[in-house]
Amino acid sequence: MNRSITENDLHAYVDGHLDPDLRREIEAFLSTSPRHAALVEDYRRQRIVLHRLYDRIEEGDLPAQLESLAASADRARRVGRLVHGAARGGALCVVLALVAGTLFYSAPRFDQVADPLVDFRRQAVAAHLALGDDPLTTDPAVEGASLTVPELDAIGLIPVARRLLQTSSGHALQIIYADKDNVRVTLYAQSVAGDKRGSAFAADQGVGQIFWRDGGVAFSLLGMPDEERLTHIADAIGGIGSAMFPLTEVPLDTATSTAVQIELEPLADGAADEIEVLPAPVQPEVEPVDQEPLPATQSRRFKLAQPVRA
Amino acid sequence: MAASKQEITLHLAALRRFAFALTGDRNEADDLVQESLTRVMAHRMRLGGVRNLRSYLFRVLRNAHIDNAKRARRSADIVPLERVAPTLQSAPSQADHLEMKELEQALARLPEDQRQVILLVAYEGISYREAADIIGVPIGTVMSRLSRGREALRARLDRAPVTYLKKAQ
Repeated sequence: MNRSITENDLHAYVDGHLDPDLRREIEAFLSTSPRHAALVEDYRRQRIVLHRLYDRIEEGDLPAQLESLAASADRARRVGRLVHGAARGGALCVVLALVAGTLFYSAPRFDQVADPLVDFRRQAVAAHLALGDDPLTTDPAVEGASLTVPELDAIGLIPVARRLLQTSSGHALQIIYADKDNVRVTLYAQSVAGDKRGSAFAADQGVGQIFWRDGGVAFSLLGMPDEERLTHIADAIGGIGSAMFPLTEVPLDTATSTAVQIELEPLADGAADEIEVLPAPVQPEVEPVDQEPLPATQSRRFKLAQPVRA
Repeated sequence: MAASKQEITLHLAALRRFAFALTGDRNEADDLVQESLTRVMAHRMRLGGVRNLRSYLFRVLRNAHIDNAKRARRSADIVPLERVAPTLQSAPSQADHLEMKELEQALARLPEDQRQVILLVAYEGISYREAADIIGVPIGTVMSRLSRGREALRARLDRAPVTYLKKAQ
């Protein structure tokens, strides 16, 4: 290198921010300039003594409230990532697409009520509580959309039922999971106006709720009043998303026969509120693409750019 | 994956050190960290979109410190070495102890903006660009504060002055 060595180069040398070539050049220069070599040595010494001075600060007892706050912030960040990152992919996108696609036209906008998100969260809790512990029954009249639900079996949760609910804010989608002890967790979703993003945890009436919204869809994961456990489940939903590919809406005539297709039909009258009990295990529906175009106002089709799972 | 789930927890030690460097008191430092985490939680909706978590946390802490300093209408005190020494795992030698005390006092007398840069760059090993992001100044300002801070420490440690040109060669 032919350029002059600068003061900043010496600092960068001490701080280890130089590439190997420039580092060698600086070392060659220092070997010819004892004054600057002493300067660099003093700066290095400052770093050593700084470490002696401060290294052990964290060795003292970590205050419990700091540890607790940091853990809460970590959980909040993980939930927030569902909105900003993994939520864009895979399972959540499927749900988002389902909800956005099927409910957008029928759902009254949230901005028409005073505090729509509070309403949404209350409705989600009510819907979860309404299930109780009774066995779920199905009604053959339910002819709703062909739905694919996020798979949570890796963390011991199996989807047992799903239903579309008529709420004061329009239709909502509810997917019910249960573990081996029949402890139930609900994923609840509804279209909303606006494109804000955000997340929050709340516990109400003995039910824990992680709420998040991603653009035009609000989600609520409900179950035990245990933020750690619920966050773990929400994390798993995000993990599924990260293993999948972004959902893209494609024109039907360009879809390929290997696409995973999710076809949604408008709700039939009376279909809402009926529970559809899912057979186990639940598999995503894979159908040949129908080349016959459907009226855009009645159905929407999506495909995954790649297969859901290898 | 496990580590990523505890990112903020993993930064706690660095936050406590930075807070200690800013306040000069361990209890005040922990209060400052607590206030910072409370602020983070108050804006938890932003957390998912934060790309550089370390910079974000340091910025929040620094802003909390500035607000506190404004309220208290005072700058950070000198850090008494006695507050640090009990935390040391092994007793330093007499010479080391003297050197630490000198550096500690010299640090405490630095303007706070220079002390911050010294701590971030020379202690935490943070890049100049990230330090600039944390402090909210251009990278050139970070470099000049680092240079002046290091030279001031040298001067206060009675090191012989070195002809120090912008162009060293």
